[in-house]
Amino acid sequence: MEAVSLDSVREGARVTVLQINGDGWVRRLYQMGVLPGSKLEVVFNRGFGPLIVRVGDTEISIGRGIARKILVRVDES
Amino acid sequence: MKKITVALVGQPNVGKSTLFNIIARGNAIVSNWPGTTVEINKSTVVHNEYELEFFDLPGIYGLTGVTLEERVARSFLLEARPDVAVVLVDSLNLERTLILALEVLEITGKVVIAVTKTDVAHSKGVHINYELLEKRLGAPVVPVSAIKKIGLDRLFEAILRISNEDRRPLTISYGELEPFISSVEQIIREARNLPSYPARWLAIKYLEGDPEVEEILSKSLADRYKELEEIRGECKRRIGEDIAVFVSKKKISYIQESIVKGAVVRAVVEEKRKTSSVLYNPVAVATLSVLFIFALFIGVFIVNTGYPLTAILVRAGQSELASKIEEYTLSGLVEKLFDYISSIVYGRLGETTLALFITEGLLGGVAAVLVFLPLIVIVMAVLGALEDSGILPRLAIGTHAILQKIGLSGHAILPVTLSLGCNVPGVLSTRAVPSAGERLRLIMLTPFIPCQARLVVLLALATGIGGIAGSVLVPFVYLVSFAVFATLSYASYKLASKKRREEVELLLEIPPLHRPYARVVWWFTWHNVKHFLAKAGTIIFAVSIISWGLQHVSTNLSFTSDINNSIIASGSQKLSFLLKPLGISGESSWITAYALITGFLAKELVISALMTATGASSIQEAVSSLGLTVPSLIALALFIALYVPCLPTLAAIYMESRKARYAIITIVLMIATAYVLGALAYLLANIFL
Ligand SMILES: Nc1nc2c(ncn2[C@@H]2O[C@H](COP(=O)(O)OP(=O)(O)O)[C@@H](O)[C@H]2O)c(=O)[nH]1
Repeated sequence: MEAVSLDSVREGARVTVLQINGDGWVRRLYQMGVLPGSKLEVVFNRGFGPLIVRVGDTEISIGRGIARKILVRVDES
Repeated sequence: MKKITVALVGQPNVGKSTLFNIIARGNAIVSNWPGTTVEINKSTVVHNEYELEFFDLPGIYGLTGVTLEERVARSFLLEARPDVAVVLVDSLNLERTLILALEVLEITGKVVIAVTKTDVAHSKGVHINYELLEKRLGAPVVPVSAIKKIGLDRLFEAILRISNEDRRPLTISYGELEPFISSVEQIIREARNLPSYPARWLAIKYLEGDPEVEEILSKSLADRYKELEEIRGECKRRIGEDIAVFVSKKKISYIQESIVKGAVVRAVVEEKRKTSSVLYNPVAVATLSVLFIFALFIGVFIVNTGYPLTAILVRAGQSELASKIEEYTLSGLVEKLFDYISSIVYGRLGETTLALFITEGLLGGVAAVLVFLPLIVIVMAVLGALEDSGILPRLAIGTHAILQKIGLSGHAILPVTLSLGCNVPGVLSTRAVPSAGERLRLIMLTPFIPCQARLVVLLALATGIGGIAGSVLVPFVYLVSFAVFATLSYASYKLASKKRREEVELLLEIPPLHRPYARVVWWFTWHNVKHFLAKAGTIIFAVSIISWGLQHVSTNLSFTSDINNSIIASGSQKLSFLLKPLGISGESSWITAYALITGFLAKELVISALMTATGASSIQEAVSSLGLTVPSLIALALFIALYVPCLPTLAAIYMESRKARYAIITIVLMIATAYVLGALAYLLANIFL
C-alpha cells in the first residue's frame, strides 16, 4: 500500500484518502466529505492549477497546495 | 394566534434560499445577528391559525464554529432557541448534507428534516425510503421541491407537530470516546452559572477543541478546568489522532451504516456526465472567465452611462449619435425625469426657498439614490444568474491561477468583481473567503477597486477635460487603480506570509451547471436591491439633504442662497491648502475641497457638489470657472478614485473586521496612495502634456 499525495494522482483515478496533514483546511475538508477513508475520483488534474475531485455526487475544486497535503492510496488508475 | 419560530438550516447549495423564498413569497425582512454583519432573513407566514416565523440562517457546512457564519447559526440555535429547526438536506447529496442534520440533532431534538430537489432525484436514479429515514433519525423527514412547490403543506404540518412535542437531542455513540465524554459531561453538569446548552454537546465540542466552548468552560469552570484538560490529554493519547477528525469520521460512518444503508438506493445512471473538458481546462477557463467578466461590465457600463460606447462614437466623429445614446441610458433617463419634475415644482411654487429645497434638497436626494438603483438592479440580476446557474464557482476556479500571482485565491473573484459595481457588497462578500488572513487583506484592499460611483465622477471629469486626455482618462485611472490593488495585495501577502504561514488556496464545491431559474434570479435581485435601498439609500438620501442644508446655512446661522457664505464653504476654505500638491490652489480651490469632503459620504456627490457650488450648469463650465488645468484635473481624477473609502464602505469594513484599526489603516493607506500618485500624475502631466 503506497501513499502518494493527491496532487500527483492522474486524472480519472479513484483513490482512498489515508491522511490529511496541516490544520487550517482540514475541518473544511471534513465537512465537505473529504476525510480519511473517503473515496475520491480525480476528475481533473493537469499538473498545475486547482484539481477537481468527485466525492459522492459532488465535485469540489481543491487548490494544489491543499491537495499536496492529502495523502491517498490509488485504488484504480 | 400562537407564534412558532422556525430556523432554516442547510449546507450551501442544498436549495435553502430557493425554499425560503417560496415560503416567504418575497416578503422577507433582513436583520443582522447582533454585533455582526451576518444577515438573517426573517419572514412570517400564517398557517392553520399559527403564525410561523421563519429565520433563514446562513448556509454552513457544519456547526464547528470555525467561520463567523457557523458561529452565528450555532448561537441562534443555542440562544434564540427556535421552536423548530428545519434542516435541509439535498436528495442528490444525502450523505454529506446529513452531517449538518446530525450536528443540529445533537443540539436539539426539535428538528424537521426537509429533503430538497426531489423533483430531479428520480431522474438522477436516487430513490429514498423516507419512512425508514424518519424512523432512524427520530425526526420527521419531508420530501420537498421548491422549484415545483411540492411538499410545502407536509412541511408545515411537520413543523406544527414537532413544535408541540418534547424531543431530546440525538445521541450518537462515539465508541472509544464515550468514557471521556461522560467524565467531561459529569463535570459540566456539576458546574453552576454555565449557559444552559446541552451538556453532552458541550462535552463533545470541548474534546474536539472548539475554541468558543473552551472559552465558555474556562470562564465558568475556572477551578476545574485543569481537570478537563487532563481528561482531554488522556483522551488524545488513547484515540491517537485529532479528536475532531475522529468525531467527524464517526459521524460519517454513522450516516453510512446506521442511516442511509438500505434507505437510499442509487441506481447507476452515471457516466453520461462527460463534462466537456473546456470547462475544466484552467487556461481556457481563465481566459473565458476574464473575458466574460470584462464583457459583462462593459455591458453594464454602457446601459448605465453609455460609456465607453459613447466615447468611441465621439472619437469616430459621431458626437450626435453619442449624445442621443447618452440621453437614453439609465442615468440619462433618470436625469430627464428629475428635470421634468423640477420644472413642474418651479412652475407651481415659483423661485421660492421651498421650491429650492424640494428640487435641490429632496429631489436631489432621491435622485442621488435613484441614479444607482438601475445599476444595482442590473449587477444583482447578473450576479444572481451567475450564482444560480453555478457559473460563479467556475469563475473562481478559472481565475485562481491568475489571482494567486497577486497573492489572492480564486475565492477573491466575487469580492473583486462586485467591487466594480459597489465596494459595500464587495466587502460583505469576502465572507465566503475561507482563509481568515486573505479575507482581512481583501476587506482592506477592495476599496481600491473603482466602483460605479467613481466611474460616474470620472466620466464627468473626462468630459470636463475633453480632447485626447479626456478620452483616455477613464481607462487610465482604472488601470492605475488595478495596478495599485494588485501591488498592495501582493505586498500584503508577502508581509503576512512572513509573519505566519499564509496560504492562498482554493477549496470550493462545484454545483452542477444549469440554466438559471428566472424566479430565483428575481428574488436574489429584489432582495439585494431592497437591502441597498434600505441601507445605502437612507444614508445617501439623508446626507444629500444635510449637505444641502450646510450649503444654505451661513456662518451666522441664517438662510443663504449664496453657497460662498455657507458654513461648509468656510470649513472647506481652511482645508483647501491640502490640495496644493495636485496643483489646485487659489480663490476657488475651497470648492474642490468641499466636493471631496462631500465625496467621502458618497463618491458620486463630488460632481453635484462641484456644480452646485460653482453654480455651473455643465461640468465643462464648472471646471473652467474653477480654473483647473488639465494636469490638475488628471491628478484630481486619480485622487478621487483612490483617496478614501466612502462612508458606507468604511462602515462595512468596520463591521466585517470587527476592529476600528482596520478601517483606519484602510483610510491612511488610501489617502497616502492618492496623495503620492495624484502629485506624481500632476508633475508628469505638466512635463509631458
Ligand atoms: N431541481 C431543483 N433544483 C433546485 C431546487 N431548489 C434549488 N435548486 C437549485 O439548487 C441550487 C442551489 O440552490 P440555492 O437555493 O441557491 O441553495 P442555497 O445555497 O442552499 O441557498 C440552485 O442552482 C437552484 O436552482 C429544487 O427544488 N429543485
